[in-house]
Amino acid sequence: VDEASLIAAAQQGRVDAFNDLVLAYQHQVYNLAYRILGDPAAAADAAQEAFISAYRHIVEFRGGSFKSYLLRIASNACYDELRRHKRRPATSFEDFGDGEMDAEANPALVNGSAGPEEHAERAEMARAIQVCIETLPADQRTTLVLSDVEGLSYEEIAETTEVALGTVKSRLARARGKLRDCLRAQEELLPARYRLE
Amino acid sequence: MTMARWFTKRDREHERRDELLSAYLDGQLGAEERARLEAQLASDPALRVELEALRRTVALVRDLPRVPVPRNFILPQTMVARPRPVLLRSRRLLAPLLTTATSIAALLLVVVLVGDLLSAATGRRLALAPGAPAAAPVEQPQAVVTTVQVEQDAGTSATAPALAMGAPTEETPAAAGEESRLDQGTLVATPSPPPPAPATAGAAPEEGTSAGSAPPQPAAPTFGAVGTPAPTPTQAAEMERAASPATVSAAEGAVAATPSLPTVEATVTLEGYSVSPAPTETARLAPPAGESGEAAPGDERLEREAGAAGHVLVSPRRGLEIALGLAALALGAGAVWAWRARRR
Repeated sequence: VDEASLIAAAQQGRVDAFNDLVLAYQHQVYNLAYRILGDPAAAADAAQEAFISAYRHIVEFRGGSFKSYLLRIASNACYDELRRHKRRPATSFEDFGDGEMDAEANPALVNGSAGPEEHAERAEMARAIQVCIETLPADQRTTLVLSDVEGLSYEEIAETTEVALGTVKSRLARARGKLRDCLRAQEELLPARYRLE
Repeated sequence: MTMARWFTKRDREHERRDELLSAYLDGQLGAEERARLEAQLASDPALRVELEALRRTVALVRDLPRVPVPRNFILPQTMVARPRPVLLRSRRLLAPLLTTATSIAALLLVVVLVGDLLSAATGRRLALAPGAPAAAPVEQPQAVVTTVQVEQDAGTSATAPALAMGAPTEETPAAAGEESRLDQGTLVATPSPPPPAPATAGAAPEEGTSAGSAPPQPAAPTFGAVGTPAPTPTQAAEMERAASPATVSAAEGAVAATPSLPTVEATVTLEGYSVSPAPTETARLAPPAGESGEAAPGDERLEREAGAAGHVLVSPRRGLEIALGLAALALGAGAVWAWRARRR
């Protein structure tokens, strides 16, 4: 069954059709939320909120990219979540190496060929990046995640975040610049091969 | 340069640089910009370092592991009846509603405009002597300005203008009524109470006073303050004739209501003017002697003030027309928005 007919069926009120769309996109939506919010539980809440909201408003969807439609609702749900909790970064550098088992540290995530040491390094690096992402303002954070985590084009990001292309470009540049500076500042914490210089 | 400003400037330069480098990494630079940046990169090792650091940063983010979903986010069958958000439902109704409202506002506007034009035409026909050519309809505000000029040219003293202003703002119905009386060559006293300050001794005879019994408008005192020397009678005549013929009815209304016009003759004069402007007759509008000689310098100022008055004075009907026009525009814009939102 193609996406268009699932959407049409969902617009007729068929939850099962919509749930097929949920299964197709939940990974993307959850990852977006996780990278923006930095907290698995908050990300799960935001993703669930996003799907409920997407279903409630699905009659308003009039063609275009369904992914953009969904990711827009998801990033709005993340903004709401951020506003609600005025979240301080969920991850912090103090967490490093305290053996906490979060998503990043889950061995099942990592390439099976990697040794335990490399896996640990990767997890450490991922956490460092996440901490730095969370220092960004919400709009830059979302733009960066949509671009470099979700792999959306500038045009898709513009559609998703409902801003002009030029704004996408400058937000992304600022986000990347700050991220680079943040990672530089943490360089001594990072494994040598992940350093920027 | 202060430290803070130096930092701000440097930050801006860095931002600009990062923007170029970031777009370059994504292949988003135009050919010209790209060539310029590549030339810079070739000659500037520090810039190459920055580009490399940014490239590594982007690569690190892209390499972030995908986190597995902790659970399925499918919606329970029980959860949802047919999704029909309130907002959407109202929006569906909104578009046709707004369209209807726009039509009604536009229709009302047309009705008021036509009524206005018709009554203006009637008033003019009554005002003009039989057989006089009907003048083309012209913007009303102009008429107001002319009126002010006439009244000021007549060299009225401080009290008179207050009364004079009553007529033009009241517009056609009142003016037409008085004009029709003028038509018969007489000024009929209206039953309304006498004007508040007919104190200009000698300047306003009985007829003038009673004809000018239109209620004074709040805007009037502005003109009451104009105690400047009036132009010479000939200048006044010229100014009057310079005004479009269509403004005559309003001007006459004003004259009818102007108590300061010395005699019945004045009315006759204006009637004469409206049919065939005769300078000699108009000259009889002359204010009491002594005021007429030194007019020239104040002339421009009078006109300017009169112009300003034209903006201030908006009759209720004109106000209604403007309001209706704006309402129709706003509703129309809303309707367009609602239809678009519906299509989305």
